[in-house]
Amino acid sequence: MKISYRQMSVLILLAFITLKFSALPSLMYTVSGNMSWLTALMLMIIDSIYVFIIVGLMKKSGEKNVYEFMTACLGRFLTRVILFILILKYALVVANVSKGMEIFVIENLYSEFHWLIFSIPLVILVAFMVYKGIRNIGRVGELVYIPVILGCVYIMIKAFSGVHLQSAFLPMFEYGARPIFDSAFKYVSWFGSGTFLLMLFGKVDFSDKKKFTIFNHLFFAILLVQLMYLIFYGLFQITSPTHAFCLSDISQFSGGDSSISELSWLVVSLWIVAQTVQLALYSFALTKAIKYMFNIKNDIVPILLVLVFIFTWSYLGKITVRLEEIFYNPISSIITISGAYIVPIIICLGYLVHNRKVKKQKLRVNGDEKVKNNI
Amino acid sequence: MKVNAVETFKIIQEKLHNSKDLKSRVVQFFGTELKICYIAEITDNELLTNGLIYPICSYVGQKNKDVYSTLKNAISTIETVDCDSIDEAITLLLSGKTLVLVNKADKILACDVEKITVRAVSEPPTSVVIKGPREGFTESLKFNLALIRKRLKTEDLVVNMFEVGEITKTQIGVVYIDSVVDKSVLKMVLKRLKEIKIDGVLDSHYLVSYLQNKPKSLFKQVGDTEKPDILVGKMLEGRIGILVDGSPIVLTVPFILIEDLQNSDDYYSQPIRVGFIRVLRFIGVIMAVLLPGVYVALERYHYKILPTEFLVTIMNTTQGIPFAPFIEVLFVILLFEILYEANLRMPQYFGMAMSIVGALILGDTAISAGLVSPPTVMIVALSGIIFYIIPSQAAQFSILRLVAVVIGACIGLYGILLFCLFVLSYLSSFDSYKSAYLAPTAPYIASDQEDTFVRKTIKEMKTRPKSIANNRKNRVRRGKDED
Amino acid sequence: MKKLKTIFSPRKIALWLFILLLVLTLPNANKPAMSQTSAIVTMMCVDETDSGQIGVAVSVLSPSDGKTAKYDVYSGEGDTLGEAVSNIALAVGKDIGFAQCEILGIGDNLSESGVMKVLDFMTRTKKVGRNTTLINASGDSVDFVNAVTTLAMNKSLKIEKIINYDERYFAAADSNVETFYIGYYSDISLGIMPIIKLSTTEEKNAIEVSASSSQSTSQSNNESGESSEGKKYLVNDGSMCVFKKGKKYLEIDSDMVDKLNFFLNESEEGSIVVEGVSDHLYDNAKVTISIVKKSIKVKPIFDGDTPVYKSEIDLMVFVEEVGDNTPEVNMLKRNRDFITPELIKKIKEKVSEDMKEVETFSKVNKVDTIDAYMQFNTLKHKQFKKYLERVGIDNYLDGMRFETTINIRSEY
Repeated sequence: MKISYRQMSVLILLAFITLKFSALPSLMYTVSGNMSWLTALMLMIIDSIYVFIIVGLMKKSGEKNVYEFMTACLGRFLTRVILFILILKYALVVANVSKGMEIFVIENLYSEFHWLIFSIPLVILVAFMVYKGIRNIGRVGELVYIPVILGCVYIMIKAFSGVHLQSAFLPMFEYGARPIFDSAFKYVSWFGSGTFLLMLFGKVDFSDKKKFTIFNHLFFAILLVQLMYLIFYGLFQITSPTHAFCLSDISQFSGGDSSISELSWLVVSLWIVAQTVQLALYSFALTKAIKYMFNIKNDIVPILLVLVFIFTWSYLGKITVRLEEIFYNPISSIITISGAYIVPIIICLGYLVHNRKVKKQKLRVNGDEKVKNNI
Repeated sequence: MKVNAVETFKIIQEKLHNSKDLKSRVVQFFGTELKICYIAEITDNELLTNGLIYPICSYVGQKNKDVYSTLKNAISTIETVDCDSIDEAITLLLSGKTLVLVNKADKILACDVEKITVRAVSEPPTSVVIKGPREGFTESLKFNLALIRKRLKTEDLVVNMFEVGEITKTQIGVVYIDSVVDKSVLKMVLKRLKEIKIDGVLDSHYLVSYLQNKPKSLFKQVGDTEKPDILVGKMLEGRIGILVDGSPIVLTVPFILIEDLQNSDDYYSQPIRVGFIRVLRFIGVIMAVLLPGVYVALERYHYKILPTEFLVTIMNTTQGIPFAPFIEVLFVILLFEILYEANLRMPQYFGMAMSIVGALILGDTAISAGLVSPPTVMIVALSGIIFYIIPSQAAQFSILRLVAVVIGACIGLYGILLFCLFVLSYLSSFDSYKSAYLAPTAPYIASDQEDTFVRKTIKEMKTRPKSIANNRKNRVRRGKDED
Repeated sequence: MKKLKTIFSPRKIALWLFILLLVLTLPNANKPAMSQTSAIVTMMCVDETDSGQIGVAVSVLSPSDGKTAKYDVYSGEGDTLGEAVSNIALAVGKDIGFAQCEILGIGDNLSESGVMKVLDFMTRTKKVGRNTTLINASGDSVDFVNAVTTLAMNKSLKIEKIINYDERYFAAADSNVETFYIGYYSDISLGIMPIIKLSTTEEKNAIEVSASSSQSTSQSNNESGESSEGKKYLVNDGSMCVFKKGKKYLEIDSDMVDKLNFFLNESEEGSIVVEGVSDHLYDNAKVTISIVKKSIKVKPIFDGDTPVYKSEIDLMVFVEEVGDNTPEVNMLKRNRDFITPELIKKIKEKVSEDMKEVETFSKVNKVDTIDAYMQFNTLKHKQFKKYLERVGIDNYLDGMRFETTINIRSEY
């Protein structure tokens, strides 16, 4: 049940863009103003480098899954610690995506909507997709990403005439470069998009590899996000923080002739599809991480745990105000930095040390054999 | 076994419970009494007289060492089979063969004087074409095989024949091009067919559930066609055809969803036009399934999405309707389905009147009476018509449409989006004989795009689709190294 | 364990969840369309009454037997805007839906006392679209809504369409909730909206709205919203209202708006009249010039410590009308030949004069309607910041120098 190289690239693209087009531009504006695009660019480039590192490790792992690979390189204890961090990181993304979807759906599409009506169909669908495995998610991703991107491009083209380019970029570095780094640290939970790849070890078929497939998809994802930020800040300027949903607000405002009303919502609705795929993808990663961590044989128990988590999260949102602040408090940032940026480096170092040891051992064995032969 | 003509005939009679259509004639041949027995209704009387009895009676040749072999010489113009047992002979007798019982012989001679009753080859009503061949399969397996052979004059065409059905003993033919077909797929198909335990097979669709990976699924996983040109086209791509005696419909495996968007006409028309039509079919499918559901969702929950002018039209036309949008749409859908079903089964001369009563009078009066609104009738009718862009999937899509309406009414647009994703996810999850059901879109196969939404010219289509498991990459063998 | 597995099999869990979903949602399915249970507002006008209460008038879409829309006008009053809106909802017996609201009119009294509370309530709580056209509705709010509604029904003229068209000629017409917000939240806190007046006398650029022929059913819960008898006129002459810190600061008449348009890229078309043109073609003529396309490039620079608003205007023009002393127009001449050097000189003089007037107007009134702040703040941020520290945010226009280059091109 492997996915193709192209499907992996598509999933990377979707993971790179989905979370960025909802509340993030508006939130980032409060810290780094119209320089937020630079924060996003910086973090996305770092994420891209990590994608290449993880894919490199994936190729080295061959048919081994991440647990087998890490155990071989780092030992059981360290593997468990890493898996624990990854579980937290994946849970954070699952919570973030589901919360984003919930707010988007309930506040924009409906006048009144029970949280259970939101959660139950979503949970059934996500469970089905995760149960069917990464091949299913990969194929669905491949099916939906073109309409999703076309929808985004349509909205951007429609909005472009109203964009005040000058205000989107200028003034630059009004308060120096510090806000860029502050906002990078505060909102890093929205990034680290390639982390799910760690759970795809041994599940990607590299035989149909084409040069630059990942690079092209990453480049396109960064370009799309940057353009969207440019349009968002150029359109709303100083009022950007009041627009909680980047894509939908752009589409709503860019109608020009007000009688067009909210027809573009239909296009924006496609966004729900992209977010669901993203949710399924990270739920899959979370399921696998739980499975490896607790050495569970079947998939059903971890899936149930993930579903209970999504349900509980949705319910908590009803009883606790400002739940979403979890996503930008320092603990979340530390979890993301550890999970998305430190863990791959540890695995990489572990692999290099392990590889060196193996080579040395081989050399020693070969040397001993030679000595034996000579005798 | 030593044959005693009279005794053996008696045994056969008993085995057939003294069935009255079992007839016999007695002929003398070199002093030995021959008993010719046959089932009158399935035996060609003329061939029996001129091809079997007359040659026996007028044989002037020399007697060989025994009567049985002399007899075979005498009737060499017709096909014969030697039966070692009475049971085997009976099976052949029931399939239209005539048995010749020769006293003291070791075997029973079964002669092929079967009466083949076939309707004339005509254009099948389910796949009418504007351009292209109009020949369609008939109910005769032999005839159908002839139609295939006519198009495939190659030593690579293989026909595997066996019987299925404990009682009906229906002949089944598995046809494929040996050099193209994927052997593992072939093995899988033959295994599944041979494992079938069933009383009788009356039509090829009896086999469908045995051939499908997910028999309970709403979506079809086995292709079917009534036209030899389509079958041969599919076989050339590596598919396997399954013919059933008594059925004009030939099954094909592997089957992928895109096949239903492709029509035989497409290959006989101009490629640009074909591209347009295929995109139209694709959009049509989406519209047909989702339009009523989206309409209900918009009316029920999301009027904010509608442009004001459109909202005015909807409000003006729906004012005073006593039902909720869901009930209204459901009512019209059910009305439409009932009319369709009634129209289908009615004699043709009633059909026209039925259409007028159904479409014009019922629809119009329902609107005038204020039971349903014009947009509802228009949307359901539109979706109903669009189904028939892809007639083979109409039944499945009408169920999906109904589900979409229920979900649209219960949850709204969010539910419909998740429903679409669920259907896509479900379809992505199954394979049909090593072929992904949604290929070549998911997984994306670049080389197969030449015959997906756009179709390249026949000249440009040089490779076989990778979506279908096959053994030979190139369509044209130009050199040994090319495969 | 096996039993537990069967109970918790994925199919069974999905089935139970599905049943729960059906139980929760099926009652929703049988409810009527929301468009029938909501009063869909297409236009609203808010003002402060003399007694200090908030008065709201709304035009509500209602079904008709024909193909066109029918509107009912409702009004309500309350201590707060929320109360006024709920009063209307109670009277109508429906939820008020603002999603289709295309025009939000702010009455004169409210403009004086502050508009932001209304806008905040309408966009945050009632979800009025940010692209809703914002106008300063001068006149009684109920009468105003009645007049606009009557116009839409009787003459098929929608005020928002008129304003959208006018955007080409009057930059201020391009005013919606979002642009007003952007202006309000900027450092200079400046917002602009067009003025549409309801008048009982016929004026320049007025559209007659015959109240007696109105088909609208004027209803109200607190106070009668019936329109007074006699002819009424909606005046849309391009004049605009400037808001500072959310309160009405000054009105700019249509003549000044015409001149102001030279500075703003939003308005692309217009016309100017030059007088006393005399050369080989004209004899002391009064020539009306149509501006087909106008573009302005602004380059803010600093000359030492002095900010210089350097602009270059490109005008694509053609001669529309020649009046007065020119005896006849030579029809054999090509259009291009009408743009004589003398005429170009006169046009440049006229444009330059108009722009100077705007400069003086802006400096005197301390109102930056030409976006000078934004230009300097974005392109010369550091120097401008220092300059602002020196002169103060209210006086930055005083020391600013304006330099303009005008290029005239013939349309052909």
